[in-house]
Amino acid sequence: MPDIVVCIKQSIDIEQLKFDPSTRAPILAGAPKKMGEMDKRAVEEALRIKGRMGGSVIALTIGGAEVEDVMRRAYAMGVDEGYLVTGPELGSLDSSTKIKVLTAAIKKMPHFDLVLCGAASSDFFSWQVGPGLAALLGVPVITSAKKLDIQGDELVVECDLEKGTYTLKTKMPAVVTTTLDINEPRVPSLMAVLGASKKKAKVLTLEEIKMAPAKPLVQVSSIYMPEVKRKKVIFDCSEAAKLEEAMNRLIDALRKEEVME
Amino acid sequence: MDYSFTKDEELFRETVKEFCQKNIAPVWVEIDKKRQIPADLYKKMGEQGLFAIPVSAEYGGPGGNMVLASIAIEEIAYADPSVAVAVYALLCNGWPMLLQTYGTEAAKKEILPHVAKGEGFFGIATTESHTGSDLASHKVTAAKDGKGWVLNGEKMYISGVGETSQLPWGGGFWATARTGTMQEGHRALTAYALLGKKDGKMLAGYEPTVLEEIGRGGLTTGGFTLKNYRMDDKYRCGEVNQGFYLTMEGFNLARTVVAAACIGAARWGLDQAADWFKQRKSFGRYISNFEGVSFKFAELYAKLEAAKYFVYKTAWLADKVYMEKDPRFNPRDLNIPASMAKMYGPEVATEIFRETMKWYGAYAYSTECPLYRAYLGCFSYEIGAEGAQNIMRYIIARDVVGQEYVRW
Amino acid sequence: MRYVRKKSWNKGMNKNILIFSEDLGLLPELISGAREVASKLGGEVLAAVIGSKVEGETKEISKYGIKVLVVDNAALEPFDAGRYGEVLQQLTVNYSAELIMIGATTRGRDVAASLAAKLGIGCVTEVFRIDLEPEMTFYRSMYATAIAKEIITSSPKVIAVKPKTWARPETREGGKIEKVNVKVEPSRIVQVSVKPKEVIAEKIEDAEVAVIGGKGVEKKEDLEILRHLATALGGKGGKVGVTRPLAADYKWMSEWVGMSGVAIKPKLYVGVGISGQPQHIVGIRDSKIVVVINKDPKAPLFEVADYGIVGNLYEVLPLLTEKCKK
Repeated sequence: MPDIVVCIKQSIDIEQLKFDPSTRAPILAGAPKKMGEMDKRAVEEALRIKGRMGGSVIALTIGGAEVEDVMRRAYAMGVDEGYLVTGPELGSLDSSTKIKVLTAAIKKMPHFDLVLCGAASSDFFSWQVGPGLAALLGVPVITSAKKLDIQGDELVVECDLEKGTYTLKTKMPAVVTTTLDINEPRVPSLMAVLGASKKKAKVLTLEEIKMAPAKPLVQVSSIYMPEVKRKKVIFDCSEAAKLEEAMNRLIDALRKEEVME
Repeated sequence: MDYSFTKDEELFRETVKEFCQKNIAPVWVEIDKKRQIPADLYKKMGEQGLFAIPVSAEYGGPGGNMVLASIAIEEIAYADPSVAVAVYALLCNGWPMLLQTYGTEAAKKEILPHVAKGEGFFGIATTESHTGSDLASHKVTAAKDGKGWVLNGEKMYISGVGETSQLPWGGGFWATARTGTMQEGHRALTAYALLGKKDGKMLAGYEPTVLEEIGRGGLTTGGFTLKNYRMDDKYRCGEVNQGFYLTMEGFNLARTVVAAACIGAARWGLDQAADWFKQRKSFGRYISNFEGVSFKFAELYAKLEAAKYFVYKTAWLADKVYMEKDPRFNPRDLNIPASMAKMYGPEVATEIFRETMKWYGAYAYSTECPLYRAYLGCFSYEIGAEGAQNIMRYIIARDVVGQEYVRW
Repeated sequence: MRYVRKKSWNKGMNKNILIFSEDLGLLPELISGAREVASKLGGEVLAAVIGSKVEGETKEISKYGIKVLVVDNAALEPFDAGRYGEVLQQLTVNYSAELIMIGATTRGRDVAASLAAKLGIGCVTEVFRIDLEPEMTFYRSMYATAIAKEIITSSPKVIAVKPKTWARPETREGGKIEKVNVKVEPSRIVQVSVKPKEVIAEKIEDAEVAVIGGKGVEKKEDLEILRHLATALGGKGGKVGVTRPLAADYKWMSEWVGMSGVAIKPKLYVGVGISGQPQHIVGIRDSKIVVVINKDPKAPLFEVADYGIVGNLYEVLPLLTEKCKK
C-alpha cells in the first residue's frame, strides 16, 4: 500500500507555440498550456500502482495561476489529493528553486514511499527535478523508467539507457522518473472531468513550508528560434508525368550544392 | 457577459480532442471508405462519456448539458470531418435528452443507460418517403391495442437503422405516428420511443432496410416498415396528440448539435486551407498572397466564427430552459436560435469545403484528397437532414414577423 | 552531508574545471571544451573517474595530458546518481572547481542535477555551446526547437554537455593520475541485469548522406529502398535511419533521429515519408541540405526543406536512385 507523491507541472504546448517573426522570440503570453506528457504518465503509473496495491496518490504542483488547471487534470485522472504551492513569485522559476520548493512541500506531507515525476517537462526539458529532489530528500533515484514494479518495499525498474536496457532495484523511499514509454495515460471521461471540479486542493504558502523566496541561480538571457533559411523549392509530383522532370531538376540542384557523390 | 468557457468545459474539450486524435482521427477516412464505424469505438466513446451527455446519472448518463454536448460533437467532427461518427454521437445526444425530458420513467430507465454506454442507438424517425418537412401529413398510424399501441406504416431516410440492428443491445428512435385523422394534421400526432431491437433481440413487426448514401458513409441511413408493431404504453412520450410539439422541441436540440458537427468539420476544412497556403506557390508567390484567395479565406473565417456563436449561444439557452429550468425562458425561445444555427452552420461548412477544394485544385478532385468526404458529409445537412434549410427560414420568419403574415 | 571547506572555496577564487562522464567514451571531447574555459579562467582541467576497478579506464584518460582524479571504491558499484553526486561534491570543494562539466548521458544528467541540488548551485543541462564573452553563457534547446541562452549566477556552476559538442583532442604528454580517498556511502541501487542494445542502427550520426524513413514507410523490408538511395547519393557515406515511432514502437531499429534520440549533421538529409514533428526537426536542424519526400503536401517537414518532392515515396525513390546512378 504505497503512498505516492506525483510532481506535475503545467507545460507550454510546444506544438502550438508561436514565435514573433521579427524578434524570433517565443510568444509566451496566452500560449496554450497542458500537463506535460511525461508528467501524465507519472500520474498514470501512480494510479495503476494504487489500482494494483492500494495506497494513496497525492499530486503536487508549484507555480503561478496555471496550477489550478494542472491539478484539475490530475483530479480528473483520479488522484486522491492535491497540494498546490502557489504565489506570484512562483510564476517563473529555475530548476534549482523548483526543486527546493517541491522538497519543502514534500517534507510537509505526513509520509511518502515513492515520489514519481516525469523524467523531464514537455517545455523546458531540463531533466533535473527527479535527481534534485532525491538529493535533497536523501533518497535514491532511478530515472527514465519504462517499467516499474513494486515488490514489498523494493522497486524494480526497467530503464532504457544509451547502452541498453537496465533492470535496477532499490528500496523505498525513493524517487523514480518516468519516460513516454512507461504507459499510455488515461484520457479522463466527462464524468471524471465533472467530478474533478468538486475537489479542492490544499494550498501551501511559502511561509507554511518554511521557504524564503530565493534568488534564481540560473537566468535565461534570451530565447529565440534560430533562423531557418531553407530554400523551400517544392516539386509537385502528384501526377506521374511531372515525376521525371522533377527528378532531373532535383538531381541538378543537389549536384550544384555539392552534396551528392 | 462572460464569453469564456468554464474550466470544466475547457478541460472537457481538451480530453475529447485527445480521445479523438487517438481513436477517431487516424481512422476517419477508413470509416468513410468502408462505410463502417469500428464496433469497439462505440463502447470506447460510451466509456468516455460522449453519448447522452445531457442525461443525468439517474438514467445512466454522464450528467452533462447541451454546451458540453456541443463541445463534444464539435471536436468529434473535427477528428472525423465526414461527420459519420459525429452524427451518430449527436443523434445519441439530442434525442436522448428529449426522451429524458418527456419519456416515462420506465422507458428512460430501460433505454438511456444503454445509449450512454454505446450499446444502443437512439435517434429520430419522423420522415416518411412522401414527407419530411410536412410532418403533419404522416401516414404511419398508431392505434390503441389494449393498454398499449399497435403501429403500421413505413419510415424512410432514417439515420442509424443499421446501427440499431448491429449494436449489442439494440436501439430505436423518437418516432411520431398519427393517432387521429389526416384532417387534424399536426394536432393528431403522438410521440413514441420506438425500439427496433432490445436486449439483443430484433422486435416483431419492425423490418429495417438500409440505403446507400453519397456521403457520411460510416453512419447508416435506411428505413423501416412497421407491420402490426406492438408496443407497451410506457414507450409513449408525452400526452396523446401532443407529439408534434414535443418533437419540435427535440428538433431544436438536435439542430443545435447538428450545427456543432458542421462547425467542427468546417474548422478542419479551414485548417486544411491555411496549411495549404503555407505550402502552395504559384507565379512565384504563395497563393494566399493573392487577395482573391486571402480575402475569401477571411470571409469564411468570419462566417465560421459566427456559426460557432450560434451554436454555443443556442446550447447555453437550451441549458437555461431544460437544465436550469430558468423561468425567464421557455422551449419556444429556442425556435429562432436553433433554426439560425442549423440554417447557417451547414451552409457555411459546405461553402468552406467548396472554396478549399478550389484552392487545392486538381488534387482535391482525386480520391486521395479527403476534402470531398467532408464536403459530402456536411452537404447532407444542406440537403435537409434534420430539417430542410427553407423550413429553418420559415421558422425564423414566422417567429419574428408573426405567424399570421408568414404561414402559407 | 557535511563537506570540508577549503579557505579558497569562495566566489571568484575558484578557477578549475572539473569534468566527469559516466560514459568514459565521452570524456575526451569534454577535455577540449574544458580547456577553452580553463584558459579564460586561468585554471586547470581535472577529470574525475569514479567507480569500482577503474584503473584501466583511468590510464586511457591520462593519455590526453590532463590530471585525472580517481575515486575507486567497491561501494561505488553500481551507479547511484546521489552517491556519485556526493563524490563530485567533495572533489568540487577540495579541488577549487568553478565549473563542473558533465557528459549529458541520462545518468550524467542525473549526477549533474544531484550535485547541483546538494551544493545549492545552478545547473544547466543539454548544453551544446558555450560563449565565454562577455560572460559565460550556455546554449541549450528550449521548447524543442528554440534555443535558450542561460547564465548561471552561482559559483561554482554545473553543466551537462551534449555529446559531440566538441571534437576529441589529440593525445599528449603531461597526464597525471591522482588517487583520491573520498568518504563514500555505498550504492543503494542493485543492478539486476543489463540487456545491451541490439545494434541494428548504422551509426547514423556519422553519415555524410542520411536517408531517414518515417511512418510513410509501410514495412521494415522497405528500408532497403531507402538504403539503395543512400548508397546512390552518398556511396559509403550514405546511411539509413528512422524516426522515433519506427524504432521505439515498431522496433525496426534500435536508435532514431530526433530530440530524444540522435542528432545528425549530414551534408545531405533526405526525409522520406516523415510528417515533421518538432521533436524530429530538432534532430536534423544542422543538416546542410534538407530534401523532403512526402505524398502529403501539407507535411510540416516541407517547412524546413531546401528541396521537396510531393509524391509517393514508392514511386519517387526508385526513380531517383536510378537517375543518381547515371
